[in-house]
Amino acid sequence: MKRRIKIGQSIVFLLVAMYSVISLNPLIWAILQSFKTEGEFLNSIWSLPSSLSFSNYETAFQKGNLSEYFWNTVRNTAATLVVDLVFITLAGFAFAKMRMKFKKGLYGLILINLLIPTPIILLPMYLLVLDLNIQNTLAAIVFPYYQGFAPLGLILITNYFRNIPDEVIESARIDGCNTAQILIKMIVPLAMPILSTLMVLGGMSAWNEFMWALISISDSSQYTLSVGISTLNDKTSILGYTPVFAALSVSAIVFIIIYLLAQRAFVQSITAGAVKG
Amino acid sequence: MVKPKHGFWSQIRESVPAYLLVLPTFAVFCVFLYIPFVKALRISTFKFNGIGDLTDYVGFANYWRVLQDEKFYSAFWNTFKLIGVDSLFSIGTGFLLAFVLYKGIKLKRFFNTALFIPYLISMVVIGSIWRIIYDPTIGPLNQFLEAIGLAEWAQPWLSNEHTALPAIMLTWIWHTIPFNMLIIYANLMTMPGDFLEAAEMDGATPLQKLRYIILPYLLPTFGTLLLLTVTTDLKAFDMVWVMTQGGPGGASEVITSYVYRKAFSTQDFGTATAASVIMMLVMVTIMIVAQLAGRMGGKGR
Repeated sequence: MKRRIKIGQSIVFLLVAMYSVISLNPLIWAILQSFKTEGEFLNSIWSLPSSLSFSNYETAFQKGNLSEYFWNTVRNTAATLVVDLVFITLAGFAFAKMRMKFKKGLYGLILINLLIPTPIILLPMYLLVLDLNIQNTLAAIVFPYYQGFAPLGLILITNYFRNIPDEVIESARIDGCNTAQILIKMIVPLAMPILSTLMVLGGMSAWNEFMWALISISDSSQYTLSVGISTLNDKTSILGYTPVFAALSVSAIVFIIIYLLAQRAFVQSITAGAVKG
Repeated sequence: MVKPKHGFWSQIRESVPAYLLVLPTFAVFCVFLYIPFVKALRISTFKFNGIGDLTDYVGFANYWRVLQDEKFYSAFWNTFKLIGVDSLFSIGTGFLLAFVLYKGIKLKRFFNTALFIPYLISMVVIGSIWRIIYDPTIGPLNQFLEAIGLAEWAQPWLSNEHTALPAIMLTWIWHTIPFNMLIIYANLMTMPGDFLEAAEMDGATPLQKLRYIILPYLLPTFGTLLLLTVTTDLKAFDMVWVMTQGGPGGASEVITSYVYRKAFSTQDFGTATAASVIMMLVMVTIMIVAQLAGRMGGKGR
């Protein structure tokens, strides 16, 4: 019996390991190509790079304007995250734990967002941005991104907050805490796991967003990585393939690193809570 | 409402703190969702090239033009194929992986991270990488097929009208599995342990536990994931645009790329907006039907 379970476990382990390899292969392959010379790449796509040369990265950053795209994307993402986390925490707490007339209707008004296909509002939104004279500014990026992320973020955080027992909040109120104090001192620490999840999801959608950036940003010095990368694809004949691989690797890896850091904080926040609780 | 103390206005007054907390969200939604949406409904009844005022009122002519366009139907159908395939394979595989991680496996933390990585890469980057993978000459896929003796299978995947959409779907699913896995895993981890303990005491087999405890517990999660899959896939654009731009000959066109092309390639904003309104109406119908079906199913029990 025990033996059978062990064999079963090894088979499952092998399957999962195989799946991981297949799943990670495209990315690893692209990264490997980014270290090759153009000649090596065209000669054989399977060979390993002969030396660890960063010249493709230099080409991508210098001739491909990658550094500009990169910093624009960092700035947009950071600003979007601040708005995302603050607005969603406030609204999520109100929906989950506060007395609110027309709560269901208002929640529905936010979820309606999921039913409105993005392309419908892109053009009027674009015209609005022109009217308000905020094209190529941070506001024209951050608020539309929040609008896009809010429904998912609110569903996740509202469900999370609902699981916090009412008694905990009631007793804090009896102790004389007002809503602001309850939010900052109790709810936010309790919500660290969901907040780091939201940080990953919201940060990722801002980092990766393509369509709105493509339409709304007219100044090429404000291009994001997504828009920049999409223009690089057609430049393989000028730049060569390997610098494009370098650019792709950079934009993929940076977010993976951010995720790994956030994931560590995420795990720590859980264990810290467990020790205290 | 029975007690006079809890009259309408006093309820509103009690709700003021909550209203203040949701105010920032609704302010953003007003400016960047509700107003543009109403304006879109207006634009869809005008002939409009994106410049100047709305003057050329055409009624429902834009809608008729869309409904007579064969390309619209094929874009529509492609989008629903993507939704169907994605729901089935992505949520299914996501559940299997999450379940394995939940049951415990060697190197669990490593797998947990490694399996999530494809979801972290942007659609644009993924599309660009897979575009090269599917490339007929330098692409690894064809070279691999040749190496294992299946050279006759090799083909220009993204410029063959039969393979373009499946190729995009495969890449799409590869990207979405980790998200479904993460959400299902998180829900499995918060499943109260006493459910399973009680079942174990009653002598339930692992399969029975899965069938009668774990799957019913996850049912609302599956529902949410299905909803998110439908709404995300309906907005599919980035990957399609980077990989094929909807080609060849509209073989991989989805609703959103159809709308984008109408608006920004042919400057026909009225028709583009009308097409997206039609898409929304279909969406809403599906949601209502799903809701009703869910309610009927709930009563049936």
